[in-house]
Amino acid sequence: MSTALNGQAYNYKVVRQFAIMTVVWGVVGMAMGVWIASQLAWPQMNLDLPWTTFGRLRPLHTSLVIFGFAGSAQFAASYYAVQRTCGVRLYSDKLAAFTFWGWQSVIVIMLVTLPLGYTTTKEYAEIEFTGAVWLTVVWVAYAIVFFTTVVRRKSKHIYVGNWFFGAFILVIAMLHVVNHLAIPVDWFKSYPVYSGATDAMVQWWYGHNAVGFFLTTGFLGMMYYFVPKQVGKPIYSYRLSIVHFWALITLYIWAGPHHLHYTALPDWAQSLGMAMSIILLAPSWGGMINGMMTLSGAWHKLRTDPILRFLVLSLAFYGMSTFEGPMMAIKTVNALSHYTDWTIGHVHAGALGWVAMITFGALYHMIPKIFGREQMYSTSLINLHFWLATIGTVLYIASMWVNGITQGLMWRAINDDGTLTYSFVESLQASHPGFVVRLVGGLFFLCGMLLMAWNVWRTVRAGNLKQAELTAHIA
Amino acid sequence: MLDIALNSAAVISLYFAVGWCLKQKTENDLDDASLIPFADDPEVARRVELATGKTINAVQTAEPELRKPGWGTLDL
Repeated sequence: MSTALNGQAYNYKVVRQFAIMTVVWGVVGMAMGVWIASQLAWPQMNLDLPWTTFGRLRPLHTSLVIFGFAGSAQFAASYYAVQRTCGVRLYSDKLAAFTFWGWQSVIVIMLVTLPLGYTTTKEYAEIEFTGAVWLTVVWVAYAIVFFTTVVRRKSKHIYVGNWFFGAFILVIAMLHVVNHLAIPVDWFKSYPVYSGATDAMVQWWYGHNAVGFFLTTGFLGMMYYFVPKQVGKPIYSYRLSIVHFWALITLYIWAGPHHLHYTALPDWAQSLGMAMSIILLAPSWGGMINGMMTLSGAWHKLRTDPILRFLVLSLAFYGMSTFEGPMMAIKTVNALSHYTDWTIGHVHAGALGWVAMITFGALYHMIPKIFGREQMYSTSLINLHFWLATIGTVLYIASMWVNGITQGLMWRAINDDGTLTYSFVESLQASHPGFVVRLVGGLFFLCGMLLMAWNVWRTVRAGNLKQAELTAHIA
Repeated sequence: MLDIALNSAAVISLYFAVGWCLKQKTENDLDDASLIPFADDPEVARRVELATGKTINAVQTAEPELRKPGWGTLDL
């Protein structure tokens, strides 16, 4: 690694901007989640207004937390890590600034159009054609900034975290463009070029890899940078990290058909999706073990370091949800779990337990550094946030497991004469306690997020940007 | 039968491709790469060197570029 000095500071401004907006969209998106959870428990919360019905707010919730919260977090983390591991400033401050304002405008477009009812109806890809084209432009700018920075690096190697960030950027571009291929009929309405089972397959090829690449691969890049940094030790096995990378990106892309078990999709495609999902357990756990084992000899740090606790717990949830996912992809298990709340619980084990927790850990690590502070305003608040987030996640996923299995069993129960034992409404009544517990879990998680916002605000207000720039030196 | 053969071929190809990539890397290369996150922070680098016994070619602090005044402390 070069030790040459060039006196050029890192571009922390865009990292600061994305970090702040991660917290803002986290609060808004999770509050939206709590609201729609209350609608499922008490339908009066729909307010009898078209704009506030569950059908419109649910896609808004997923869009805000996926693209607003998780997206901004990955922009911040990738821009921070790529500069520091490549030893160069980001390529083009102007283009980096464009990605910030461009990405925020994409989220605002979602915030306005989805409640108004403009939607492609494709899950996680609801933004209509014009917005989708604009998102592509911003994403291409992101790719140019990231990859040009990597090309201009001072280090001999490309650090493994950057491989994960790079794969995330490239594959998301491919998925987004292919799934959004459509014929526009006006500014806010378009029709997909695919139809029938093909349309469903393309959508779930996109949908599953939105999880695989938007909510996993980029966050693994985050893990490979922030876990070693926070532990103060290099990753347990660099060799394993390379195997992890190639195996994960090779396998993930094939797993989408498990979303379409027992549908019009050809049976061979369903079986292929199931087989690939099961094989996917190996690289997922390889990465999880690699992250966990980095703590070998440093487990005692968990007692005093709540940031490390966030990072390690996120890996535990990653391991848990990447075990649960392949199990649910097995067709016989899926026959029970599909269309039930078990799926919602599984998604949130990953979204709250893995994505949000690793983001919290990374932000708590990064924010003092980019705002020129020694540490966050309050370590006790980080600790409290950790417990609120953990309790909230456990309440959420446990209630959804109970609901899911209850619903699955009630729907398949038949009498001796072949008629259904329970009506759908009876299964809804049985699910009501679980809906309320889920809402409580969501409230716990949201309270933790609000504490984080307060802690970040106090840290930022007392921030010393001159100090941050002084430490933003380059290898 | 054909799909099993294709799947097996894909897994075997992946195994050999990753093996071939790793064959080009010496232990020192991998050590160097794993220490990259610490290389731009001399203080942390010293602690990591003490903990691992490995050498990190850490950098020294340089004078940064002067920043233009931002918009409050938020600099948004």
